[in-house]
Amino acid sequence: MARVRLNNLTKHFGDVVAVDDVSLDIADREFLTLLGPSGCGKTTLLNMIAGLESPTAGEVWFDDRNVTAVPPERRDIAMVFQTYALYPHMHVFDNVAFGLKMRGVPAEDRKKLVQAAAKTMEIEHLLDRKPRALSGGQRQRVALARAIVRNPGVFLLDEPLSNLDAQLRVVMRTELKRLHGELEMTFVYVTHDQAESLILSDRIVVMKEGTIQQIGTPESIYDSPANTFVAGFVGSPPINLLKGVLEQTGGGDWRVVGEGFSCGMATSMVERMGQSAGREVSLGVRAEDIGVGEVQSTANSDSETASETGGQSGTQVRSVGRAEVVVREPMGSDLFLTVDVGGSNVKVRTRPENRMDRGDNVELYFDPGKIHLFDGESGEALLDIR
Amino acid sequence: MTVLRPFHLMSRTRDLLPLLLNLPAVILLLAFIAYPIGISFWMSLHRYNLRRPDQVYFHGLENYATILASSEFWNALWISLYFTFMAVLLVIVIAMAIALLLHESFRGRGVVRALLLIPWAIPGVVNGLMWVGLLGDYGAFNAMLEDSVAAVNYLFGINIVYTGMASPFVALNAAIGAHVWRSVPFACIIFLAAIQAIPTEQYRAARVDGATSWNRFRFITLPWLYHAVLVVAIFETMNGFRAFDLIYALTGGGPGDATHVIAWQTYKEAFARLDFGGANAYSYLITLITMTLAIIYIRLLYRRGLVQG
Repeated sequence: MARVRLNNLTKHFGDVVAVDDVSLDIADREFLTLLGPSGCGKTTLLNMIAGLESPTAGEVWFDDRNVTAVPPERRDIAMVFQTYALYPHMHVFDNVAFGLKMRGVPAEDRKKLVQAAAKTMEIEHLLDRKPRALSGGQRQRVALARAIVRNPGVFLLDEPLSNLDAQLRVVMRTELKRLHGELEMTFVYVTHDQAESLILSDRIVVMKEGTIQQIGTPESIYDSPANTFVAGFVGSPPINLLKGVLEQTGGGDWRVVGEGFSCGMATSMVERMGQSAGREVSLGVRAEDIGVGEVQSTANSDSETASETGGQSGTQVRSVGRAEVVVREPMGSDLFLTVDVGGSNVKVRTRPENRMDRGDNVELYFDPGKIHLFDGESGEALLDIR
Repeated sequence: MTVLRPFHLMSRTRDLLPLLLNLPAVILLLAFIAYPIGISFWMSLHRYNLRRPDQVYFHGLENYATILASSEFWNALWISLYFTFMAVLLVIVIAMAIALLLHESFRGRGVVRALLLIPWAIPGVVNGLMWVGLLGDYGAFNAMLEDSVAAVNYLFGINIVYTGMASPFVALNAAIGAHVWRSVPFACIIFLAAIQAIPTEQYRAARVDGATSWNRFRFITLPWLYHAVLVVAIFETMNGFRAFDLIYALTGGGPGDATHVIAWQTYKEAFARLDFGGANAYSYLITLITMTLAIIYIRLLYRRGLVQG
């Protein structure tokens, strides 16, 4: 059990700033994920929490203890590495027991603790094998057993699933979630896989180039991304971003108008943003918040009602424009259509029964409650819908 | 090119050409390796002494029996075993220590690593002569040792007699020292390569597990180096048993028979006693001993499962 606080942590490698002034308060028993592309500083940050890397500036606190200068062996941590880092010349039992042995735990207690950890990780039958006789998933379980056996306060995981094949990754993901429920430990988890972070975390920290982009629950990160980077990184397929300009019509209605589309905005929202006409924006809308419908023969398409908008049944939604289907990707439970909107590709998730195919012209509808507006230049969110 | 060759020769040359191209190498190998090995064994089964060139005749294992019954052989064998054991031990310990140091990053590491190789590049005889210059009667190091012994005698009121290379103990251990000095670089490079192959995550995991620096060496570095240690041990054991050129230049086998290693004994049989039959038998005994040791090492290597069979 431990609360972990990072105060203005900075790490330089020569001229490269790997982590830039990061402050973070991780609650006791929280599952916190550091998410970002490779080179964003998430592993360096984890290594500083572990004590394997000493910060250039800033402090690390475990509960009321400043551990900034404390070596890893004297912090109350355990760590799982991407490559598992099992000791190849030791049997599984000795691998798991190594940390206990180094800390002077008597042999009988070691045996009991290893047995218990092995039971939790379901590797009891593997204890007398060498790591090289194990499969990837089994090695992963041994690495986890080695970490939990000491019952540390803080459990650090550095991309633990990325060396596993896709199927096994799903299994171990569930296993990790179960583990976090059973153990009273603070989990800090590093990954570049946004799906993992959404599934596992209590909170996600999205990082880019050494700085924190956004901290929040999976829902808030997904539903209210702080900027175009977060919006594009979290979620699969990535959010659709369309360049446009904020305009006010004669009647006082606000719209975002771009190449091939014109999307109406609620006046109250725009007023809340305090935005003025003529501002360049990026409009973000996720694949599942877009509806597609047959092109109606009537001339005035603006008055059409969405036939297939996601969710929000019964509300009157107006088409934002016409698009041409470019790619059709059936995925079993879903069908993904890539449509061309004024030269930009937009991904749409729809029902698998949909018969639209390459070359069809469709009417496009955006769920007005799920539109994200970002500044055209900085990419910062302009509008927090919720 | 085939176009230039007469048609009727083509099929036959296709079979013969590879053989023909390899023939020079094969002849050289047969002449300079296989023939000496064979003839040397054949001679070891003969009475063949150049002092009596008219009395060359086959007498089976007589030479071997004579050698095994002689105290000279056993004396030489013990000296060689001591020499080899000390040399292997010292080479492994010193080379590993240096390799661990050179693995750390420091200013000028590249230069130091290059300098390390110099002793290895020095021929054995030159190495021997160099150590004669240091340890011989007029050697600088010898003078320092003499002065140190004199100072100790004066300070503690004792009387240690230091006779330099005239002392059997000093001569034998000086030969070992010189041999080790020359052998360390090669072992060091093998160790350095092995150390560099250890994944850094192993050390990170060990640190998180609470291992002190000594325990990280004991439980991570050393097991990872097991293979390299065995390779160096095999190589240095063979080297130790065959040590000759250095001893020839440094001690000339003396004082007395203090540095009569087994290779020296072989040399003496052949070129002092002119007993070529006996000398060849000696060579074969050395081969037998080193081969036995090598087999033991290799079986050790396989049993530990460190070599993928």
